[in-house]
Amino acid sequence: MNSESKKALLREQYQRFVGRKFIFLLLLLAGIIILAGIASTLGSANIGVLDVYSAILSRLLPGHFHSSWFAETIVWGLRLHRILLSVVAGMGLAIAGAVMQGILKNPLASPFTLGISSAASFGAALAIVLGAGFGGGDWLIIVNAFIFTVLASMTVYGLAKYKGITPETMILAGIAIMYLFQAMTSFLQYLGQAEQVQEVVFWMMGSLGRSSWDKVWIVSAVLAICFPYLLFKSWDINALGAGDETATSLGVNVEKTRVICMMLVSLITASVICFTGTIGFIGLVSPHITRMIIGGDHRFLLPASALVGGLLLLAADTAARTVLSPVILPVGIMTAFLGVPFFVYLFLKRKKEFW
Amino acid sequence: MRTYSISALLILILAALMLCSSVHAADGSFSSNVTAGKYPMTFTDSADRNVTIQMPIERIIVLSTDAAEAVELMGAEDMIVGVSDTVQKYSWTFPNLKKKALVGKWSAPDYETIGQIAKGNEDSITPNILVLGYPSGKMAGKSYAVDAVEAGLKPFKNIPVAGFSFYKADSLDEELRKLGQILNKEDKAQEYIAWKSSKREAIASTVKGESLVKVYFESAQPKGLGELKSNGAGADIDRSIRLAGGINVFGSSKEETVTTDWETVIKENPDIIFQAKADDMMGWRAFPSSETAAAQKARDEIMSRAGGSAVNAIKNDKIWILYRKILYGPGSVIGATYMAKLMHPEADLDPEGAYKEYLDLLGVDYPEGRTFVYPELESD
Repeated sequence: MNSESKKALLREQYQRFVGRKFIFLLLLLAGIIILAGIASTLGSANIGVLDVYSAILSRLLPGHFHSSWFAETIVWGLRLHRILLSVVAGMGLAIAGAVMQGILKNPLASPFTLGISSAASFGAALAIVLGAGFGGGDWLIIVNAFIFTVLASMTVYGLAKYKGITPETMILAGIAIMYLFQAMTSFLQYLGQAEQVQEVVFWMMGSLGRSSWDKVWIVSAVLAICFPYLLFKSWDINALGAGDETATSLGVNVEKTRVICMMLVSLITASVICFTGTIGFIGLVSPHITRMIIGGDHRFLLPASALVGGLLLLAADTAARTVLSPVILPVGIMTAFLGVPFFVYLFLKRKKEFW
Repeated sequence: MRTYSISALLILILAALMLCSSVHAADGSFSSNVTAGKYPMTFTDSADRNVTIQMPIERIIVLSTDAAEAVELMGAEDMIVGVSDTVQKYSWTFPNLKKKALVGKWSAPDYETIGQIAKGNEDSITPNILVLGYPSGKMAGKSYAVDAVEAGLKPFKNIPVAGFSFYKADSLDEELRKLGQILNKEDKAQEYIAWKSSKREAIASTVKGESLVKVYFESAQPKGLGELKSNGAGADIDRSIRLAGGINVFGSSKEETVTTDWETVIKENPDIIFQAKADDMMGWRAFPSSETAAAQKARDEIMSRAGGSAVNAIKNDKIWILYRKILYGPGSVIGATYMAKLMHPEADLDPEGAYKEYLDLLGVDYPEGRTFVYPELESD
């Protein structure tokens, strides 16, 4: 075979290789849309499936579709924002998880590795037990959780910088911060009344019950700002996976990349969990599932993890709403149940290639 | 290049989501059939919210047993179209509400169901419906207070929500008067207030001059002698005890709930011990029954507590288990009457008769063969 045909063969193989990943992304997108369509028909009001879809379409394409005021109010006022919040929250957590695993070179890293969930829980507990913090009324818990999350990442950064920003120092600093905030949260729980403690515990389980269009807007906006930059950095994150020295020799500013990615991850995570509480496992499991199917190239891994995360959280929330109806389970319980079979599977199928 | 296009697609989706969020709801208008003069009526509920009703209320959804009881007192039971799970469960006190539609848990109402009930067979909501919930409260990470209910029902636009506690002694009369105004049943509100006042008068005049009895009130069955639950001066039960001619041994505390231990109670040396026991039926079946057996067990447990021989109440066998429902809420004066009779047996009081009168006001039959205090009072 001459070099021309070799090149053509190579190109064809590469196209197929990339094409598979593309198809996976499109399938995920379709999956989310279908699941969202199913989820929007589930609820206790007496609206038929066709009514739900007419209600959705009548707002998007007015004039072509008509629906009753009641169906529109239920779908747009009560159901859709919860579904959309679960999708964007899942996307945010999954992206954060994938980036964390990339920059820390640790398959068990999650958005919460740097003590973020403990800090957010502390902020929420401070608001619930002592009524202290920033913002007022409903926003007290939200703003507190956000501010303490950002504070925690700044502290981790400060601590790690002292010894050089490597995965080891970041994880150690993160663990220190995690224990600090955990201890303070426990102390607050000890001080609180039974009802307050219950409230803190439920906040830590994570729930999508307090969704609203404003929150969907805010989380989408944060994602829309942070995601393009993270995608832009995906080559660098790929390089980091080969080792710090290799990456430096490839021209990657290792420390700067780590710090910026960490900050963006904290921002995304903070903006999601301040509204939903700490929802575990999505950030940990989505990148793994994605990696098993399309490999570890972050140019595809990031968008695909996002879609997997959105799909997973939407599925978990839909299950949490309907499985014990009319009782609504906190979504964090569902995602925890999801995580178990996944890790059992990983454990049973231990191969060198899964990372 | 292609990965960037997929990511661009994702960003477009996010932008579309942001646009969706700004699509506002269409107006659900209704024909304003306002009766001249009184409407629109604005009042302030117990959460300091201004609530406006556009037209006479014909349908009510109650999210708590206290609200259901208040509506029953107004004789407006027929207006109730939806109840929470606790109201359905306590069907003895609300015999006519068993068949009403269930709107979810008292702490987590189902807004879709409420919207469904409110719209009926129309495609709009006539604003002659009122939802009654608690003014404040948080539990299990969620707020069941009126603000949360209002936020949840906001998309429907025409469902007014009011928060009343209907059990706090210092605000109860005012709240019932307001409810009477809202439902055009001011006379029923006045009837209840006058009846309660006369009962309180009767107790006060009978126990005047009698020596005060030291009372230890246990608000729940304890899990351990190191963790007993009682009430201080901030609680309504303290008022009832004082009205009945007793002193609450923890009355010096300003708190509503007091956690104490058995050693402290021994030190206080009460003359009489009351324990409140819950049950989901109206009173307990007469002796012998499983409920009175449980009450006997509770009583025996108190009698057998270590160091009990140093306590007057245990020495003189003055321990009673009280049915919880008569101690709190609009009927709490019944509990006060029972306590007064138990503390001062020679007093000229008829707690059973008083309870019959209260149930008359509610429109509920008095359940024969039921026990409200254990051991039972000897009937005259």
